[in-house]
Amino acid sequence: MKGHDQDGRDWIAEALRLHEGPLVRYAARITGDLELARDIVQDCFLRLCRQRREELDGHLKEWLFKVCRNRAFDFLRKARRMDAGTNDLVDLDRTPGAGPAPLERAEASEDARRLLAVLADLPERQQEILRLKFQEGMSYRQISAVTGASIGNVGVILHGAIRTLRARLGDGTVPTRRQA
Amino acid sequence: MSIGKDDPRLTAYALGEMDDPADRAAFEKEIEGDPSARAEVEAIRAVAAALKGELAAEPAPGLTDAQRASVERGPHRGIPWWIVPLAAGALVAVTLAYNAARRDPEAMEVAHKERDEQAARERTWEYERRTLENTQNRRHEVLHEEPRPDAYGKDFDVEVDAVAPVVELAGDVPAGRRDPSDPEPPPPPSDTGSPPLVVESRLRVERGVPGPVLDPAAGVPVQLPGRAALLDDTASPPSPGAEAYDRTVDNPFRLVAEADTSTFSIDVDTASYANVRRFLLAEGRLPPPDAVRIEEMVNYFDYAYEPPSPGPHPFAARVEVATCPWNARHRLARIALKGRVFEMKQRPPTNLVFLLDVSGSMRPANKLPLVRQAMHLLVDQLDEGDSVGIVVYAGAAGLVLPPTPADRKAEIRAALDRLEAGGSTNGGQGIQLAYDLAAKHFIKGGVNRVILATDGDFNVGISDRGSLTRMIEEKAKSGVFLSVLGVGTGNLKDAMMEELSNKGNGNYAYLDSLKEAEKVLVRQAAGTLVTIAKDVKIQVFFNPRTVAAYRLVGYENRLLAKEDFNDDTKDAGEIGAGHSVTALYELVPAGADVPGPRVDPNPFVAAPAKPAETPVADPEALFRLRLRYKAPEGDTSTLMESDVRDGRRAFHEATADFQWAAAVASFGMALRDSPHRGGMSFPAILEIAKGAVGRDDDGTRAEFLAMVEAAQRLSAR
Repeated sequence: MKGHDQDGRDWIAEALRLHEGPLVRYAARITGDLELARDIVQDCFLRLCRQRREELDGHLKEWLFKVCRNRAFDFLRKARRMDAGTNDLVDLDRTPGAGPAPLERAEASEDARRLLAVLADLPERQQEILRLKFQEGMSYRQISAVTGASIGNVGVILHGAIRTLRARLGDGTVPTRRQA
Repeated sequence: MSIGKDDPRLTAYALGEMDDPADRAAFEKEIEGDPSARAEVEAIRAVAAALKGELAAEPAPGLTDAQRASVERGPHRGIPWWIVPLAAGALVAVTLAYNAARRDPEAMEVAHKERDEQAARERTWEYERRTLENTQNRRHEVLHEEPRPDAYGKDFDVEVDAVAPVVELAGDVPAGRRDPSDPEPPPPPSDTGSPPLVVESRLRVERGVPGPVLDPAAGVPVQLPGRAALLDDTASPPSPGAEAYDRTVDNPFRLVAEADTSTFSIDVDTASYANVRRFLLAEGRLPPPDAVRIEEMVNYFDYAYEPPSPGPHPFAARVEVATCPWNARHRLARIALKGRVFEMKQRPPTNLVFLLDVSGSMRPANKLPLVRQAMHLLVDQLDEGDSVGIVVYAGAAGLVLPPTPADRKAEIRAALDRLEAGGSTNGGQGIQLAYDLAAKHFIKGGVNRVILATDGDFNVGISDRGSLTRMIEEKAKSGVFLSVLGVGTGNLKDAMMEELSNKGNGNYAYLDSLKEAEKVLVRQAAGTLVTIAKDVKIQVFFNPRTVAAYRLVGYENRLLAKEDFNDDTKDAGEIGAGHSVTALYELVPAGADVPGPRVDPNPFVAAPAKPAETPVADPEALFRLRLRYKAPEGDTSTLMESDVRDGRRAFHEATADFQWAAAVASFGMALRDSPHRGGMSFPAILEIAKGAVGRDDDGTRAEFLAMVEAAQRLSAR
């Protein structure tokens, strides 16, 4: 019994080691609030503690990102609803989603700055999928599991995003250069 | 046939996402003769590599150490994650405050005081730390007690044990008690020009309450200004930064011949006990007498009263009578009510609105941060079907979280954690908003409750007590109940908060520590949240054949006119699930001397209250106990009544719970320096209490012993 418990703890510790940072980064992108992101991720892991390990073997990462994503969007929806429906009520400051993204890097090369600037101009959906692909190293199938988009759709979105990026990086700000 | 640049297969291929070997082979064949497609693939790979490199360099900050630790412990294991950083923060804050004070050259006096306060805070800190450890150790234990074998009586039993001769053993009577035939020193005059609200200064030393103080040697009220009065000329009228307690005068003995009926409202509040504990253990000084409400001290403890057997009544009532420990010629009757027990799991769906004071005065660690922790504790226990809304008030009232299903804990937690203190207090507006929200999401048949957490320092908007309490009284009619959680020191408006909870069909607890929050909101959560009976009133008809005089111990601000008992429009106290309520009467048996001054008979009236020749009641009974209560959503009351005889037990034959309650009441009287305290010294109280500790699952009784010891040390100084 105790051995089993220890296994469970090791499993959680390993999951933390591998995914904690990326998950917080991901949630912070969505919510724009690092502390909130931390709470969301903590909640994800606490939920993980209640899961049966066998059921998650092989797709733990997708499961964590999916839960994290759902919680983060739940929160955003709620926050927006609040913004819309609070007429006579004074809103507190620090509405989630407001304010600068918390994860700005201190220093970056000129090229890197341009790349990130162009990335930041993409639609949110494209940015998210690019990040899952290139930052988290997920496969199309994993991205599909996390975001709910079909695998084909993931491919289309990613392809379009990369084309836009290339076009904008290639010649300044001109959006696209159509092939004759 | 060339491949269009819009073809997503280019990217899929470039990134190695073509899983099917057949697809991949076919695509490779296609691009073999298509240089532009091959160039596309290369370009995509180049962008991908750049993105990978740049994005990998983005920081991934991860959880805080405490959050990680909480995950590693798993859900519901150990202390919740948010405690550790807060506790650490409190220590840092203390140190900073101390250093700041030392650096300030203009405030040597203040610095001196700061050092004393620092020491007190360190004691608090140490106390908190121990508390946390205890909490941690206890978290998984079953938290309700099995009934003890010595629990006395059946539902609504009266004492009918074998008639023992009235033998008073010496052990019952602590040495050195005052001869009861001696005249009692007169109570301090209630009118010496001082305002009824006794204001306690933060600067005061010892028991330096400005106002009349009874000099024990002289037995005469003397004015004793103390250092406080010298340092603080703002003692009157009440100033910010002062704690306010209503003046309480102990109930006197009433002659049965003159007033044969005693009526009062029950009170399950425990705030006073926690507040007294804060003074004694955390701050190392005696509490001001008016901060001590004896009934709240007695009711703080869990007693092994048996819950009611299945039947019509939501609570059981029992009476036990034994020798009064502080006056062996008197009898002590204990009325014990025990509410039906609910597990939190069986509790009806719950609609809670937290109404949190975030004004500037709430900034210290023992206020808003503690409240936040407490709310987290409460949220921990809610689940699907329950909802939580959060309203704050400071300069303006605001909605922080609309009612949110309680299984979405991250949102609720996040909302709690974003709260910051600042601004002045407009309690009225917040109360309005919170009640509106609770009413809008009202769950019929469920628990609907506003939980107000504040130091009570309302200073903007409706801040006069009359308007606020009228407003609460009005709101309580909507069926939404109220819990008041008092926090903080320095400007605690104790009386105001108690009154609000009384008017709002509520309960009032003072949170001096996380441990207390755990008691009120975790172990006794069902009692705090689920009301099983409201407007519970007690009326006692005394039998002049057996009782010459009586005195209700405590409940001074809960007394009702005897007409109020049958008046269902008159508000009274509530009982929560599993709550126990204890009331003590000190009885002077017929034929014994009645302490206190006599009232001359009215020459126009015949001698009053002759015993009936053939009473309808049991002629040998001490009194008839009557109870009225309403169902939580009902408008008409139900009556329970029974006659109670004296079982003629000596004090040492009484149940442990009886002895414990008597010791706690004695302690309260000693702290209040009550004229009725009799010969009970602190060591005598300690001796009784030590013998009656019994099972002490949560350590509260051991803590009481520490409080008595602390009081003994402090009063000896």
